[in-house]
Amino acid sequence: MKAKILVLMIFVASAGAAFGETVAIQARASYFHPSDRVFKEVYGGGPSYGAALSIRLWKGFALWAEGDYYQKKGKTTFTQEPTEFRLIPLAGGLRFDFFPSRTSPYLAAGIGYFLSHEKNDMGTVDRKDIGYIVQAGLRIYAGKAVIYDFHGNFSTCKVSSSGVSADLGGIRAGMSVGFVF
Amino acid sequence: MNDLIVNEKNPSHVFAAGSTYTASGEPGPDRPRKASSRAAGYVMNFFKSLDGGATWSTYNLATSADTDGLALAVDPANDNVVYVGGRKDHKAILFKSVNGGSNWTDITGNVSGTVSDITLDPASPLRVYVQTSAGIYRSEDGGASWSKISTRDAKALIINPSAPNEIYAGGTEGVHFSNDRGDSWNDFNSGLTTRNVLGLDMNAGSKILYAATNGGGIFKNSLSALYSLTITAGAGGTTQPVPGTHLYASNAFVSIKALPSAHYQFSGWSEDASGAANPISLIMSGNKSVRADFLRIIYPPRDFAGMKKLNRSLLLAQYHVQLTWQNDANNADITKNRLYVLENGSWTILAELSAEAKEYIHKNVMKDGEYTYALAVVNDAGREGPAATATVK
Repeated sequence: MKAKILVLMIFVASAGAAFGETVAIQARASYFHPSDRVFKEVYGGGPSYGAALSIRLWKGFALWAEGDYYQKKGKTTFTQEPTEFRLIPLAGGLRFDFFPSRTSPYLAAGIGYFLSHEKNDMGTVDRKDIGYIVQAGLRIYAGKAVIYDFHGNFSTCKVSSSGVSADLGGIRAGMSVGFVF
Repeated sequence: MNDLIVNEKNPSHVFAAGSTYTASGEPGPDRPRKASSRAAGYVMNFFKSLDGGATWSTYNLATSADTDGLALAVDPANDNVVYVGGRKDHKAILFKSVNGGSNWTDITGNVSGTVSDITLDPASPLRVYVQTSAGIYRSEDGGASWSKISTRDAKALIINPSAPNEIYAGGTEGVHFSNDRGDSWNDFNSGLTTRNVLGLDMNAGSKILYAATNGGGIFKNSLSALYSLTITAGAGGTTQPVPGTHLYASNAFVSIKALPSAHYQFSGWSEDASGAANPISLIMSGNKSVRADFLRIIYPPRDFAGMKKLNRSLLLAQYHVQLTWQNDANNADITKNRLYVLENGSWTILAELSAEAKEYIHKNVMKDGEYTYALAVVNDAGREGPAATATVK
């Protein structure tokens, strides 16, 4: 056990040493695939766009925040009437970069604040709900100012509305490009 | 000799029907018909004289014995056209010649009973009436085919020369008459104390009908005491008697029946009758007119049923009731479907839909509510038919 802790401490101490930026700002594009059955039936997956900000804390740890924008039109389950949905998941948490180098894998976890809006013949609903998000990715530094980030995340945000329940989360995969300072 | 006719247009032409006796089966001198003389040697004959009876030609009609010529009719416009009827072993036998008797055609067809009289319609000589002990038959094609128009036995029949559709028949049940060439009949027995009528004649000028009865004397009745009954029928049916103008004796009891066509129903009488009783009876106390009206039957939709369904997007949801049905193929002229919902014990129109609609979605219902619906079709006259109902829980 002590050996494992020692290895972990060395691992953490070495992280972020060579390419440990202080601040990074990224623009990202992803494909969002919802996990909820009705979400998939009514709207399905689609592109989402967003931005991310990270601030180096210590060693391989960084504060991380991001926001995405997903909008889709679909049809209701029975009458097949048109419906529109907009989702803006804002997330923030802690990121840990493994083996900080020009190519660095990472893991991140945080809390999501899901802003949702839906409109159709049945009415209009606007919601703000809390969820969770975990993310894994690979950051590739191109020089000292540019960074590429290939990532995938899983989010969940279970809500109840109009007597039915739904999960606003799902799997998102994409890439981002940004600048480090 | 049993019947004799003189051509009124050419009185020297005289015709007769009867039978002759011959032991060898060959035609011989005419002999009076006797009940006891119907031996094997009597054969049916037609006799013709073109010189006022000075000389006669005899024509043998039947090839077998036991036949008797009892009735004769000659077309007054062309006395080469001759009909002779009688009996053969108590069955009807009818012959027609179109060349003055030289050749004969058996036109008995479906005529049954013993022929007692043959009458030609003066307005249409191809229309021939034959009275037999089994009823009255009518041919519209000069005897090629026959329709039985009365089941009463008739020994005499006369056509009103002023109104050829009007015919009178006499028999053991008295006199009955028809104003539609025999399609329908009514009794004409007012004052006729003896019903066994053997002969009829008419004075068309003074409109008097004479009836000779068997042992009861001779009666007469004024035809001027007739009243007209005009029957009309609206679309979708007819009547019995058929629509048209009919003449009835004063105070005659007339029954009229409305006969709706397929997918129609009788809706009622109007003009000199009212109500919807069918048949109705009228007493002819004067000229009357009666109209029968019919309505197209409106059938309710078939297979009317409903089911509650959840309709949702991601964050919004409502329960709907899906109602489905089939339109009845027997309906016609339907313009719309009218859908009702039962609310607080009374029916409220929920929607009016096209005639072709087969589905309706009642949106935003209560998840646990019970709903009762009624669906009816409306025709182009705005008439709503009976409704089909469905309850959805």
